Amino acid sequence: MSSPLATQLRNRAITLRRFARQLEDLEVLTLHLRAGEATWVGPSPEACHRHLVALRGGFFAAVDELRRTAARLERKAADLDAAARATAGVA
Amino acid sequence: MGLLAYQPAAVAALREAMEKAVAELRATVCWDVDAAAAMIPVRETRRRLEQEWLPLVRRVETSAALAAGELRAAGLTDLRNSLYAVLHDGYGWALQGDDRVPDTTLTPAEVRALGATLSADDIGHLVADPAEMAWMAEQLQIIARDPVLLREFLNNFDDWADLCNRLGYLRVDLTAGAPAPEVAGIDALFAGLAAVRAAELRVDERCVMAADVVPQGDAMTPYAAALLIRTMGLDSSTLATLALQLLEQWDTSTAEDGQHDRASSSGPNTADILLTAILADPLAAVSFVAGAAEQGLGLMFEDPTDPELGLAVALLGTDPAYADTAQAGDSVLTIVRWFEFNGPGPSLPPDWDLFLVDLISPYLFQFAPTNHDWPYPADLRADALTFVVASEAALQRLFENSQQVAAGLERILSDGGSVALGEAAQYLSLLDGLIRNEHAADAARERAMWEFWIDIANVAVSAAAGAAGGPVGGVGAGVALDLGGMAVGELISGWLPDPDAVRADEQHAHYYRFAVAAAAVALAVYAGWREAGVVGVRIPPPPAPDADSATPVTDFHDAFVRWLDELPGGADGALADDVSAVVLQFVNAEMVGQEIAG
Repeated sequence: MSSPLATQLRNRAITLRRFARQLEDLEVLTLHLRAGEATWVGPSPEACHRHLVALRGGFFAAVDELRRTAARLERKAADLDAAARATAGVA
Repeated sequence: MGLLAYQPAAVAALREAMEKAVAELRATVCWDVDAAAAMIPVRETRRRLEQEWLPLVRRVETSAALAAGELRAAGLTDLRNSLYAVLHDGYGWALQGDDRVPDTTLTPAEVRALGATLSADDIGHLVADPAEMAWMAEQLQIIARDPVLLREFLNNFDDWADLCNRLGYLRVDLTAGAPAPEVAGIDALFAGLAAVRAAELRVDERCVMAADVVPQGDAMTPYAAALLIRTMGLDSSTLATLALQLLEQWDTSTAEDGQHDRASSSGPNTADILLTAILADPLAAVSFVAGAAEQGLGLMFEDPTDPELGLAVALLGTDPAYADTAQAGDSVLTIVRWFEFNGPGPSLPPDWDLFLVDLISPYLFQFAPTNHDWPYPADLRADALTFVVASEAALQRLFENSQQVAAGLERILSDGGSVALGEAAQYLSLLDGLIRNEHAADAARERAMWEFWIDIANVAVSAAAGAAGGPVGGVGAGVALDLGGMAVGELISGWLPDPDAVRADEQHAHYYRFAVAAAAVALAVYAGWREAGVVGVRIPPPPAPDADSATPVTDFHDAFVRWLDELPGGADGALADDVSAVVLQFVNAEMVGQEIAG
C-alpha cells in the first residue's frame, strides 16, 4: 500500500508524461514542413522557416525535461514506499 | 527590397495549418508546477505565430502578385534573383516584394538557380553592370569553398564553353582600344569560374592531367581557356603543358572564332595571357621553355602582343636558380639558333641581341670547346657564341654580366674540382680570344674588359687555390690574406695594365692577362700556405707578372720555376708539386686555348 504522498507524486508524474506526449503531437511541430521552399522562397519565408525549426528544438527540450521530472517524481515515490515498508517491518 | 516567390495554394495550406496550430496551442496547458518551464515554448510559439508569421502568411495570401511590368523594376532579371526568375518563369509561381533584408548567405536552391541561369541566360546585362559582375564573382568564390554549394552549382551549370567564350569575346572587344573598366569585372568572373573548376578538380590536393583541366575543351576558344586556367592554381608541370597545348591549338585553329583575339584586338592575346601566367611560376617557366624549344619558339617570340613577355619567360625558364645545366642547354642553344636562322621578327624589341647575351651569360662556360655538359659539337657552340657577341653592344652587355658569368663558372668548379679547373683555364683562353677578336680599341672598353676578366679569373683562381690547399673563397670578393699589407684581390687589381699600352699591342695584352691569371693562382696558394703556417715569412711570395715584358707568360713561367726552388723541399718537393699542378694549368691553357680559338 503506497503512502498518500507517494501516490500524489505518481499522479503528478503521469500528468507530466501525458503533457509531454501532448506536446509531441502538436501541429506546430510539423509546420516547418509546410513552410519550406516548396511553398515560398524569400528573406521572410526563410526567416519564418528557420524560426519554426528552432521552435521545434525548444519543444523537444521541454518534452525531455518533462520526462526527466516525471522519472524523478516516480523514484521519489518509490523511495517513500520503501521507507514506509521498512518502518512497518521494524515495528 | 527583396523578392518573395510563392505557390498560392501551398501558402493557403500553410495559413490553415498555422491557424490550427495556434488554436491547438491555445488549448494546450498543464498546471503542474513542474510543467511551468514546458509552458514557456507553448506560449512563446503561440505569440510569435499570432503576431508575426500568421499575419505574414495572410498578407501574402491576400495581396496581389507583382504584375509583369513590375517584375523588371523589382530586379527579377538580376543574377542575384535567378532563383525567383526560375520559379516564376519555369514553375509559374507568383512574386511579391519582401521588406525583409535578404540574407547574404547563398542557399542551395539559389545556387542551383544561379548555375541554370548562367548556362542559359544572355549575359549582356551581367557584363553591363559592374555591381552585378562583382556580386557574381564573389558568389562563385563562395560556391567554390563550399562542397554542398559546389555540387548544386555544377549539377545545374553545364555550359562552361559557351559562357567562357562569350565572356572572352566581350573582353577582346573591351581591350581593343584603351582598357575598359569592365575588363576587371570580367577577369574577376573568370577567377570565380576558375575557383569553381579548381575546386571541382581538387587541384590543391592532387596533380591533374592537362587534358582534364579545361571543361568542354573542344568547344572553348584558347583565349577563354587561357583566361580560365591562369588563376586555377595548377601545379607547374600541368600549367606549362596546358599552356603549350593551348598555344598550339590557337596557332592551328581553323575554327571561326578560334583566333578572335588575334584578329580583333591589339590588346593582350592568348599568348600574352599564358606567358604572364607562366612568368609567375618559375618551375612552370622551365618546363614551358623546354617544351617551346621543341614545339616552336615562335609561340614565345612572335605570338605575344607584348614581345618582352617572351624574352622574360625565356630568361626565367633558363635561370640556373630553377633549371639544371643540362635542362637549360637544349633551351639556350635552340633559342640562340632560332634567332640566328630565323632572324628577329618585326615585333621584337630592338635590343633583342642584349637579351641573347643575358640568356647565355650564366652558361658561358658550356660554350667552351672542352666542356661536355651539353651534347652539342664544339663548332656549333662556338658559332652560337660568336653570333651572340657579334655586336659592340652585345660585348658590352657581356662585360656588364660578369657576375652571372662568374657564378656559372663557380657552379662548374664546385662540381668538377681540379678536372674542371683545367677546362676553366682553357675556357679563359677562349674567352680572351673572343674578346680580343671583337675588341674595339677604346680606353673605356679596355677597362671594362679587364674588370670582366678579373671577375671571371678570380673564380678560377679561387678554385685553383682551393685545389692546391689554399683558401677557397673568392679572391675578388676580398678574402683578406695579408701580404705586406695588401689582400690578394688588391694585388691582382694592381697588375692591370696601362690601357694606352694595351691598345698599342692587343696581342701582348692577351699574353699578359694569362700571366696575371697564373700569377694570381700562385699568389692565392701562397697566401693559403702562409695562413695555415705551412711556410713562414722567410719564403718570399711568388713572382708578379711583368707588364713591360715582351713575353709575359714565358717570363712569368721562368720566374715561377725559380721561385719553386725556394720552397721547402725545393722544386721537386710536395709543395712545389701542389702549386705547379694548378698554376701551370693557366700557363699551358693560354697556348691550348689559342690553338682552339684559331
